[in-house]
Amino acid sequence: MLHQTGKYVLIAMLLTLALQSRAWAEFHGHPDLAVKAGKITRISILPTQIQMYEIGAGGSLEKMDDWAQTANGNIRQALINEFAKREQLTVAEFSEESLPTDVRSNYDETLLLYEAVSNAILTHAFKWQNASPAAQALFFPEKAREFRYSLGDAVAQLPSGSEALLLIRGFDQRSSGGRKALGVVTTIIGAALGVVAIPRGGGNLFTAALVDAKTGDILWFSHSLKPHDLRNLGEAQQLAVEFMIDLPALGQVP
Amino acid sequence: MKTLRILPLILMLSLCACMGRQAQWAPAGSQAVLSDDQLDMEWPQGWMTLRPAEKDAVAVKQGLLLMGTRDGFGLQNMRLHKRALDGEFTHTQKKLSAEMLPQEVAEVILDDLRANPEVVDLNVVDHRPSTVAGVPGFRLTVTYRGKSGLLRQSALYGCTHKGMLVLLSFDAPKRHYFAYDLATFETMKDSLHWKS
Amino acid sequence: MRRPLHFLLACTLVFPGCSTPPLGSGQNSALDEDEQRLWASVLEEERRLDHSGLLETDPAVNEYVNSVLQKLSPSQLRPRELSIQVKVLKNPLLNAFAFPNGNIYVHTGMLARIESEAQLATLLGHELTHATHRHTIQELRGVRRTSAALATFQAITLPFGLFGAAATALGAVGYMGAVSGHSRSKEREADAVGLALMAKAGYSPQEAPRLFEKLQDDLSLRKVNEPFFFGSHPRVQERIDSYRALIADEYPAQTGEVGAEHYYEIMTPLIVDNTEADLAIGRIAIAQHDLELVLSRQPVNARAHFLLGEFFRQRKEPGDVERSESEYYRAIDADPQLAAPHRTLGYSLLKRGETQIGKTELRKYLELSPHAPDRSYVEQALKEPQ
Repeated sequence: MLHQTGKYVLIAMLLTLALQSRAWAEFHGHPDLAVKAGKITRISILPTQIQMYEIGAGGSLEKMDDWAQTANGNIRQALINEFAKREQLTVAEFSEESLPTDVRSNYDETLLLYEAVSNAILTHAFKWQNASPAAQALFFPEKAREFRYSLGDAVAQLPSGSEALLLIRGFDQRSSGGRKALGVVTTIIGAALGVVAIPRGGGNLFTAALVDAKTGDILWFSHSLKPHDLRNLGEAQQLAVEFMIDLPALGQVP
Repeated sequence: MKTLRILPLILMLSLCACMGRQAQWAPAGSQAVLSDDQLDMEWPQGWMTLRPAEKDAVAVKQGLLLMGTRDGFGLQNMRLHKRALDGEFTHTQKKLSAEMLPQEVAEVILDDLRANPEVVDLNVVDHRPSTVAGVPGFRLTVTYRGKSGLLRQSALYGCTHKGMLVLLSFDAPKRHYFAYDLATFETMKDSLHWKS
Repeated sequence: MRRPLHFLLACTLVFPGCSTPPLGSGQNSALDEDEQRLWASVLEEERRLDHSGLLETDPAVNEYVNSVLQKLSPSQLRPRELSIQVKVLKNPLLNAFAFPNGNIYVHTGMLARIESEAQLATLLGHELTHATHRHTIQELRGVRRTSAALATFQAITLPFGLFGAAATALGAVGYMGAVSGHSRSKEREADAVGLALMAKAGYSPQEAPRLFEKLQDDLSLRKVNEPFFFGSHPRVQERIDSYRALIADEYPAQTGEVGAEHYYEIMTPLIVDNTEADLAIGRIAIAQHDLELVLSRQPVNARAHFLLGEFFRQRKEPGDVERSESEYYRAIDADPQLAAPHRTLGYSLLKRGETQIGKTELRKYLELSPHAPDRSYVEQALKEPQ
């Protein structure tokens, strides 16, 4: 009752099925991004949260943990490779396994909140091209102009030792009969509303957020709808580059 | 794929079929609650409000007049409900009656929450008498985990008056978002008044 | 006449061509790749259920239900094959389900309907068989090939509000077994093997159909369509017919332990708590039925008297105010330290204009429960003029 977005929202978003996705990443930056980016010299990549599913011939959806393990390993490695090209930046280790119990619950809550925040950002801060009027109404111009979202200052208690955290989250649904990227938006809608809608051909969505490790503010947020198969390191590298193109120079005073 | 292509068409047709006021998004302040609602309230500036469609059966059953958010419903939402006292709840089969004390009404609201399949680990943080639009009522604060597992917190004011149940709620993730907008919610609640 | 069961057992326990031999059958029971994935996903569902705040914590109840399950476990079953365990969920809906890894969840609503240890053994034997015979993975393999798979996997919300125990906490796997039930052949297999387990453990097989007959009778008290064990009325009748046929074939004269008294001794506090949940969701008829049954066995059960008072307060028929007050008085007589009846009695008296006695009761309530969450309401009522 308390956390229902209402069926009107669902209907409105379902009408976006006709929407055509852009083939490159889109991003938003916090008003203080330019100032803060220059002060970031250490960054922690939190364990990436890519989930992978196989869509069976009958339309069933099966979570594939082994695929996801490969994909998460690849995207992490790809990001480390990309950051290594930036001389002013150090990537700090962050291991969820070594977290004490109280910090572990903070970490879990951080990821859950990021899920809600990233869904809200995707729904309201981006204007989806070719969407129906009902779906366009979900775009809040103010949120795009003044991009302020946060994970709360509790993130400061995570033992990152960094000025910023990078969060990667997404999912990829692959049909067993071959790769198709149609129906992507249905999946986004599902993610945003907690309703799983499975496009027959499979869908995917990847998001990345740079978070201020002290305040929890989302400094930069990007998403990609490109059908990268992250089980392949080369394609994971492409996604990492796609994200990095929009990420401001870190550790360099503008 | 055919099904997916046809689905929006069906939805669009069904929307057209049930004419009447559609769901409307608008920046706060640009729309009154409803002309015949007798209730008025000042929504915070910079927020977006959504008025449900006239023929939205769920909204009608819940008596949902208007809901608002700034960042997205999952991050904060405030809702104003007004419905007949003898109406049904969504989850509990309990009914309200005019002679109930505010705390008895609050208990039924809590039971409806407990019976909500999307609510787990519900804890009542605070439960006290209050005044809502000048009428004796109650104020509840609860925490719970929703569908995703995220810990959320809700504050809810309620009262019964003129044969109606009035509820004003604020719901947000407990971390950061609840505390961030609680003062805004209290200000909004203080502005709630009966027009006549 | 014995052929059907023998054939079934031959197929499920012995036949070497079976691609998924039962766990505990002594055959190679290594999990297939898809089954390993299923078990991994089940851990997540279990984690959500275990953190829902709705697990029954009474050690007497937990030890008891697990001791019954242990008696049923096939002797060849190795601990590493299945983690045999029962967990009780505080939920008034009729439900019980087994995860493929052997963890069985039973709702308090189901335990409140059961009348004996032998009936509990019937239920647990049936659910245990779903796990040992790897029914979930077999169902999933079948369903994956049909378009029905979509509906199955997406049906993560039950149509009726669970009492706090979120349907969302119960994921797709639990949903499959818990709400829609397994296919007819799997259910029949669970009947046959489960019945054999309970009979071998020394329980009376004659109790098995009684469990389902009781469930069918009680459904009329519920008046609502709720997701429940075996999905629907007709499927309950199928169980009754199936158990009757099995008993006629295999155990026509076999008796054994029933354990009704011991069952009630352990379960009465749980049944009373469950009626409180039923009252909260407004199912007053079933709450009244259970409370009167408890009071017929334990006439001085203070909480049962208090909740019966709450039932009358909710029902609101002529004379119910007086009935509720007299139940509150009985509750106070039975346990003067129980705070709640003093509060409800106090308010009831205040409403009737009996201000003085009403306030005395409210003061007593605060004395017994100084940290009551509704203390400010009570203090407000005490301040109001006579």
